[in-house]
This record gives sequence, structure tokens and C-alpha cells, in this order.
Amino acid sequence: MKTDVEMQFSALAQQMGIARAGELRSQGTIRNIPAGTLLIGDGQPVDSLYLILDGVMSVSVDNSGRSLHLGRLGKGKWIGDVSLLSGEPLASSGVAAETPATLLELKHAVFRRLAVERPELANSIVRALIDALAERVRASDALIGSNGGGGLALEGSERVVSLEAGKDRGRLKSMLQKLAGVEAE
Amino acid sequence: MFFRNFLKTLPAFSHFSDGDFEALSKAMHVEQYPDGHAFIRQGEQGREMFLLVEGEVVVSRYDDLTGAGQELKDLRAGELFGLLSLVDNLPAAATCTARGAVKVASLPRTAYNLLFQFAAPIAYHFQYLIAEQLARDLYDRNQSLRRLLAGE
Repeated sequence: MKTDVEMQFSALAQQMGIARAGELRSQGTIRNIPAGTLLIGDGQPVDSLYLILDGVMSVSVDNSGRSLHLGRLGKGKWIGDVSLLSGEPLASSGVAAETPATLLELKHAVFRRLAVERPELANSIVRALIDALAERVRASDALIGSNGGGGLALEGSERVVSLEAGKDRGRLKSMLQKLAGVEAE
Repeated sequence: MFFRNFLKTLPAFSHFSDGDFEALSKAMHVEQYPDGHAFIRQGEQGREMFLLVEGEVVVSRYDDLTGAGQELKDLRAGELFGLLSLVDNLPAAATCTARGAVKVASLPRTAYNLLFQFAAPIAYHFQYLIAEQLARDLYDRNQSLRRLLAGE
């Protein structure tokens, strides 16, 4: 029977082909991390792209002493793609392991080398990232537009963060999750 | 020549070769548009990808039920727009309108599809350009969220 990690590579092979999925695996490093590991600190430098092979990662945003738990990312999702592609070296959200997790880590520097030496492989990754990014941008646009700027409130992981008069907490939280590019819980 | 030189000044095109610039500048059509011209209308299928060359374009979204409009972003020279509808073949998520007279370069869907599907260096560069723009769009949203958290 295949493990979850092998199943995830099978899914990747279907997306980009067996040879490229195998090559991606060989270019990266498999990392097993325990629950509670802070993978990316919010606002901290990011130098790797991660593909979640197994487990659940929790995403949050911190600012001015306030912390907001945004949602969870699971198998098949990428982390560190916005930093890689936007050219912004600092993370726009924090990511921690909510459960024990297995990740394929690909250093940004390795990706950039692949873009020169193995453009077909790098392009397969870019194609996967484009689809995921488009989905997240579209979802955020729809939610921003339908929100209409009404006054709302949201609940952070440690305290309630009141932005304006509250009307529809769940809807704003959903909007913020989409804004941050993560799946709703 | 003007447009090709303009492309060369944009950081987003830094990985393009001279051949790429030549091909892209030939595939794109540069034109002047008046104030209020709608390049993309929310809900309609996109037919072109655009690059703002001069002036300002406003991105707005309208509530399907109330019709209330909300400005999401002001685009500046060098920014791409109209990408989403071409990437996922769904109707446009927002309306993009000229604020004042603008100069815009357009790339027809057929040329976009060719660039998006070909396994050639120019296609790889083009697809990376698309991914970069989408990542910047998402990064801007995350920054908005950060400002919201700070109560700004």
C-alpha cells in the first residue's frame, strides 16, 4: 500500500509527468517536522519553496502585537511561492506545523538554478503555481467585492481584533483567509 | 522601437532576451485610449491581456446584488492586467477603466495561448512573468490584511 507521501508524488506525477516529478523530488529535500514547528516566521526571510506531502500547516498573520489565525493548508499545497515569485524576501504570513508534517523543500536558489539549467522542470513548477495563484487571487477579488466595505470584526487566535463595528464576523474571517491565500478551516 | 525599449526598462521583463522582446513587441498592439475606456468588464470573458504603458487604470468590482462599486487598485505604467480570465477561462472578476488618457499595449488571447502552451524559452519567460504578476497581486492583498490588523 502506498504511503501518503507516495500518493502525493503520484498526484504530482499526474500533473507534471513521472520524470519531472521524480526530478523535482531529487532536487529537493524531504523534511519531516513535528507538530508545533514554526516553518516560516511572519515577516521573516523566506528562502525555500515547500510542497506539503503530508500533514496540516497552520497559517497566521502577526502585526503590532496582534495575531490572527487564518486557516490551514494540506497535502498538495505550496508554501513560499508568493515570496519566490513576488521578489519580496520577507514572509507575508507565518506558517507552523499543526500536525506532524512531511514537506518537500526546494531552496529558492535551487529553483532559480533550475530555471537556467532545467527550464522544462522549472516551468512545470511555475505552471502549477500559476493555477494555484489564479485561484487564490480570484477568490480574494470576489470576497473583497461582495464585502462592499461594510464594518466588520474578526477573532484572532489570542485576542479579538476589532477593526470596525461588527456585523458579519464569519464572512470577514473567510475573506481574510482568502486574502492570505489559504483554505478556510 | 519605442515599445520594445519600454519593455526593456521594466524589471518584470528582466529575464527576457532580445529575441523575446522582438517577438513580444510584434505580438502586442499599442494604442491610445480616452478617459473612461473600459478594457475589461466584470462578468465578461476576457479576450486580451493588457500592459499599461502610460497613464492610470482603475480596477473596480461591483456587487452582483446591489450594484455598488468598489475601487480595488490603481494600476501604474508597467503593470499587467486582464490575466485571470485568460489563465482560467472564466469571466473577468473586475472592471478595468482608464483614468484620464492612457496608452496601453494589448496581447490577443490567441497569442497569449500560444505563448502559454509552447515549450520554448519565450513561453517559459512569459509564464514566469504571469506567475510573478499573480504573486505580486496576492502579496498586495496580504499587505492589506497586515494593515487591517494594525488598525491602519
